Amino acid sequence: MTAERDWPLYEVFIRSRQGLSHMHAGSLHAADARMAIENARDVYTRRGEGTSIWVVRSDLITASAPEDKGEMFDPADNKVYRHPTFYDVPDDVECL
Amino acid sequence: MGAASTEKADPALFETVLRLGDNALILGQELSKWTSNAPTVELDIALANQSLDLIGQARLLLDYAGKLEGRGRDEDALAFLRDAWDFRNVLLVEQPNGDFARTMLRQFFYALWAEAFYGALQESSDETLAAIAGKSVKEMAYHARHAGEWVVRLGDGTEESHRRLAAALEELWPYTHELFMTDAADEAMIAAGIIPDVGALRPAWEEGVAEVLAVANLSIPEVSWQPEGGRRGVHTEHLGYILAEMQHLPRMYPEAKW
Amino acid sequence: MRDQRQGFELMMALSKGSAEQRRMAQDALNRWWWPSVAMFGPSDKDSVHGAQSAAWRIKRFSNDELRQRFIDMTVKQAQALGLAIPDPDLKFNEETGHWEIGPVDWDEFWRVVKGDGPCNRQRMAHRRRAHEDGAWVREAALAHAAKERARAQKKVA
Repeated sequence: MTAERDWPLYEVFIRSRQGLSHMHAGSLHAADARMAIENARDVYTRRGEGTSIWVVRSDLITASAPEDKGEMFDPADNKVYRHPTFYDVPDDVECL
Repeated sequence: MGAASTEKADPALFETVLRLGDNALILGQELSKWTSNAPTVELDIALANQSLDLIGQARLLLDYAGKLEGRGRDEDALAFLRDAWDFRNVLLVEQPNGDFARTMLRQFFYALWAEAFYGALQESSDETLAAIAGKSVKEMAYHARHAGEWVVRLGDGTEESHRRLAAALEELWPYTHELFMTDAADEAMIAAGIIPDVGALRPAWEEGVAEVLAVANLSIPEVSWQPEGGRRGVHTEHLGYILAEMQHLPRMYPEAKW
Repeated sequence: MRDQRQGFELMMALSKGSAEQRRMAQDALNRWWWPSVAMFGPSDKDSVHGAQSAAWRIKRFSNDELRQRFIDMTVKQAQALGLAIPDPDLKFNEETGHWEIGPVDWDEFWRVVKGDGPCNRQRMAHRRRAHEDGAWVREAALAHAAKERARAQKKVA
């Protein structure tokens, strides 16, 4: 049996009607990007969840490595100046 | 504007609505057989969704038809307890799925027609039909787009896919004529502004078909047959098998409510 | 969650229906009770990966805990529907407040999991056939996509 070329894998991101950003919905296979959009509509928006669909070929995504966790994602808990609550402002100043 | 939907029996309108409902029901039923058998899981979901769309349209139409008939038959009674000679769908929709090329071409022919038909039906003087049309036209627009793209992929794909599509075109083309036929009952409904004149829809449909077939490297076959009869209850043997499967359970347990 | 409600509604329609429909519902429960109970996996004392999965926090509840939850829920639902659980050893433990079941056939479970039996064979054959039959379609889509790319490149050149 000859090896058959497979449809590439695409990651799907959908922004819902009320949403402000695209959320990762899952992945699917398609022969090209246009088919990926339509497949995403069929597979991930069955209950009318979407308004905007982005698809990206999975092999075009660069991701951080799990081993990098330490230096890449050290929490900023001990960097208090990065949190808004660090700063004292008078209560009666508007628009803050 | 226009007449409100009638509450009393209207046998002529009943027949008209039955024709539309039966198209959706039989096509939805036949298409659903691809479930768990499609070439990819994405297509499996797409075709199952489209079957559900069609069956949803059938429910609305048959529910309305039952009220128009005024003999107490609801959507279930109409779907499950009529025999083939009482069905009013066009012959195209009872043609078997065959291979994927046949299915996509059948879907394309029907969906392109239905998109145009429902589009025009939104102007119907019958409020219920206009409302059903408003919902259905969006679904059929998507079906037509989906199927049309697949006809292109298969026609302009590999040698094998092209060959299969060409064979499907030879077989299915003759059945498209029935979509545009009218009889005396239709003429009366058209005159009353209840259904659109399918004759007027034909040129645009043919253009849409020609466009897609051109990209698929195919041309209209030289076949002169124009089989018809479905709309007056004269069906091919395929319908019998579809009904046997679809109607078995309710017929076996006629008193049961599900 | 939605599937659970749909399933219960279906079972309710059957249970409140004709004699034949009630029979269908009971027959279904008779067939599916033991496979459903076993589906939660081997008992915790026999579970190979249970402890590891809990430590890694990808598994929050043990097989037995989930199984017990399922049993307690389903027995109540069956009672509401007037259906009998096909287990002569089923009894309520007043002290623990849980329903206890009879012995699960773990040999059968492992045979199914390992792919032994006609249903497994039929299922795999069906999957393979659908995949093989669809090869020409997938090939055609890729061929067309390649042609489109080539045409697009020619335009740019």
